[in-house]
Amino acid sequence: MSKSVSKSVKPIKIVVIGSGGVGKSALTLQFSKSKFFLDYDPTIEDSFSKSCYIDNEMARLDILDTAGQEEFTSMREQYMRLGQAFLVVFSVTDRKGFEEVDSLIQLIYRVKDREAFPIMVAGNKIDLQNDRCIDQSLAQELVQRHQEFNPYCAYIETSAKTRLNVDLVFHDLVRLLRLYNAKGGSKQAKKSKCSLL
Amino acid sequence: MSTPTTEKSAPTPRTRPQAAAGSGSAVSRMTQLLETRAGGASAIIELDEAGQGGESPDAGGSPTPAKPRPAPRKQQSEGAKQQQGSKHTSLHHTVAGGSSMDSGFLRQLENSIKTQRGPETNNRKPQLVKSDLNWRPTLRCAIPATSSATLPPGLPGWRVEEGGSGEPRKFLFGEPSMNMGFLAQGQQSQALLSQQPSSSAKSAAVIAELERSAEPAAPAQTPESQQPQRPKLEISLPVGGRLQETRKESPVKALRLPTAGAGGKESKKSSAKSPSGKRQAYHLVLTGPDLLFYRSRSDKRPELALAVAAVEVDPSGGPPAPPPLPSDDPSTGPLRLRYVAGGGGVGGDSAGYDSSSLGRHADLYPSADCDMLLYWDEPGARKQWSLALEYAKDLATKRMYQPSSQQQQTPQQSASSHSGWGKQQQQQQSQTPPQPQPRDSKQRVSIAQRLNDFFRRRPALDELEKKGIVRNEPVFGSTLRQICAHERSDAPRFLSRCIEAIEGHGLETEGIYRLGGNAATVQKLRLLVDQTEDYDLTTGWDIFVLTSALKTFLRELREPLIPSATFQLITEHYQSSAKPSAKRESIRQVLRTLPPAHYNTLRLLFHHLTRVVQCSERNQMSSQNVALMMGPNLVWPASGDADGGLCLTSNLMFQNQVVEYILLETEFLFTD
Repeated sequence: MSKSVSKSVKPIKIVVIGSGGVGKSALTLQFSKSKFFLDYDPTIEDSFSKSCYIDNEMARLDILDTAGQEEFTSMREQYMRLGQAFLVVFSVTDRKGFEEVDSLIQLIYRVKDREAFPIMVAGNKIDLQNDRCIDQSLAQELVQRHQEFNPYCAYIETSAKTRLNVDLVFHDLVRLLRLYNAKGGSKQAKKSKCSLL
Repeated sequence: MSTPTTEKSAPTPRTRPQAAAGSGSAVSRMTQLLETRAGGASAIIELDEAGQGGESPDAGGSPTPAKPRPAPRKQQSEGAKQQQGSKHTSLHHTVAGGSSMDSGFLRQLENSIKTQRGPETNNRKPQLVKSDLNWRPTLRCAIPATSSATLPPGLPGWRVEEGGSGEPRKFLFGEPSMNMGFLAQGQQSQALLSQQPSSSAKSAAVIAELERSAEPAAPAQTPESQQPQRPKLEISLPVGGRLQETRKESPVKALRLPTAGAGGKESKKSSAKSPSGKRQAYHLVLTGPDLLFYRSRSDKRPELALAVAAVEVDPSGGPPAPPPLPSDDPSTGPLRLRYVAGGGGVGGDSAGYDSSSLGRHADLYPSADCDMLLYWDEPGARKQWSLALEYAKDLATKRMYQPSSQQQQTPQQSASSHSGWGKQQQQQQSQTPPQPQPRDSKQRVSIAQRLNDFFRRRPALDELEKKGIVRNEPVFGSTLRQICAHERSDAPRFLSRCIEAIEGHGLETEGIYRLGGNAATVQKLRLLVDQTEDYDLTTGWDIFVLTSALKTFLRELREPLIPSATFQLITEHYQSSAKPSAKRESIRQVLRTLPPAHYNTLRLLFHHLTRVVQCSERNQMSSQNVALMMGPNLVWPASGDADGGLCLTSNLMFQNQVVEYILLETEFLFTD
């Protein structure tokens, strides 16, 4: 029964992006397989799917785990075009990963040609409190800046190792997407085009 | 003000003191409109005129090069009415409600350029204040005028005429059309504006259409029959409330008239034909400052180009023309163009435009004066084109008043044409003291024109490369052969130094080659390496920056470290079912065929990477991981190779296996 339900539900394409080595795969694997994998293999591209009930509604998630290294950026726009919701991951112990968050979000807007899009920003590795170099307030501030025009943007702190907020981050993302769709987000006016010259 | 609008003057006194400068003008109406509406303009951007340079050229002609008054913004908007009545004339450049993004953006652009221009403008950045749901930014330029009654007649961007009331009336030229704008609209819009100031939706649309009229004659005296057709003109881009470029195209038949005393190619051509010669069909394109004649629509190169600034339009058709004109009905006859050779336009100081503005088409400009008659098939086209040319010319020259022989018409003659404006203004000028124009016209060229100009004149990249102006960077973005030849070394010095520095940091760092360094720092390092020969990488650089820089260096080489053809060969051998030792040997032979620079660099790199893998216990970088990270930096499909781009992922997986193989077999593969 549940299988037929899940078949009938259109899958939600979630794309996990972020700088290299911030824990995108760990987060995805923890969510989909409920395990913390200790191996340290850089990802090129993996995809997982998982069905779950979110707010009493069935959701089938297709999660695309991507490569963070700049060598692989050529693939970025391609998968961004497919994604319906984005999880932008950075590591609270890695300043560089955090600095890339903003440009990634901008890229999403650009590729999607929207001013608002469901985006969760996840500060990962908060179990490593001693190495932490990105304050929560710093990340909040960044997200609040985006929230001014994109109400479907939120920040959450996670730890793939301790499974803190791992489910929440994906569930919240689905909620944002539902909200976005309910508000007719997909029909929202496109970003007005630049008309310079 | 072609319109015989009787209600025309009616709205004026309502809001505006009699003395106000532009009581009859579209601008002032807009002003009224905006002010009478409760909320007024929702977003007000104030620009004092001193800083604006290109942006509000209106300022250029102001009587005194007034210093920017740092008047508090609030006060100004509140007291806008009084100011207009007394000291200041505010021009409201209204931008369409829908285009707030664009205009904001454009403004930002202009601003940023402006701020670069002088420090004085820095503190007066336009502010956007959102105070109304009806989100319509208004650009307000406060222009101090010496005389309270009139604007200085010399103001560029303004036409000053005599109005029906005896007061000077003004037309803002290059008025804020909106997004896709449009100009030249008749009086109806004006009536709307004044009648329905409160219906914002409607007025927003109406504002978009700018009133502009052809007749200088007082509207009250204009008979109904003379009501002009409202010619429409495509305007591409308003910047800062001014139209910056006109574009118009249509098929046309042109006849070149022989000009007396003109020498050179042009006259020969035209004299070869009989005076009543054939009309040549052209596709005529007016773009910004240039009027281009294409043989056919699909032609890439025009046959002839005229700088609009140097073209005089004779709307009456030019009586001496060989085909006698129906002079009683000038609106159907041909349009006569007189091109003044030498470019510069009337007076020779067109603002920034000369015949070279078309850059590579410079040779198309006739070197001698020439006369042309233009014929259109459609009846309305002629009028539109004469309008368009007038606009384009005014835009190009930024001068309102141009003494020219054609403007010796009587007002009656010019009633149906536009060229009479100059005359009218002349009269106006005699009434008001002539205002010196303090600024050089060059300074008044708007930003968009500057940009336009810049892009037109900018040479193409390949030209620069040919000339040797643009060259490869010495290290990054070059080829290995060039680097090694230049440095007289086996392998790029940067690579060996970088490896040395990385190994100095210790290969035990977790995630080495996997984690990226700060991109900005990497660029800094790149600049350092490109600009100096003698640099030290061993201190002061983060290890991740160094590894990122190394990867960037490899990735930005003009040709991949392992050329795709070679890699193809290696792959074939790798896949073959030969004995492992034979396989190894054949791959080794393939590697030996690489150019020495590539071979040596590869050897250096792979020896280093092997050392990285040896520490994999601590740095977590196994051979697969290193291969995965390095693979895309070593090999990439040749450009134009369609397959490479499409199945990138599967390609990568396979490519990485090969790279890993090389990595694991480094000891053998790179021994001589």
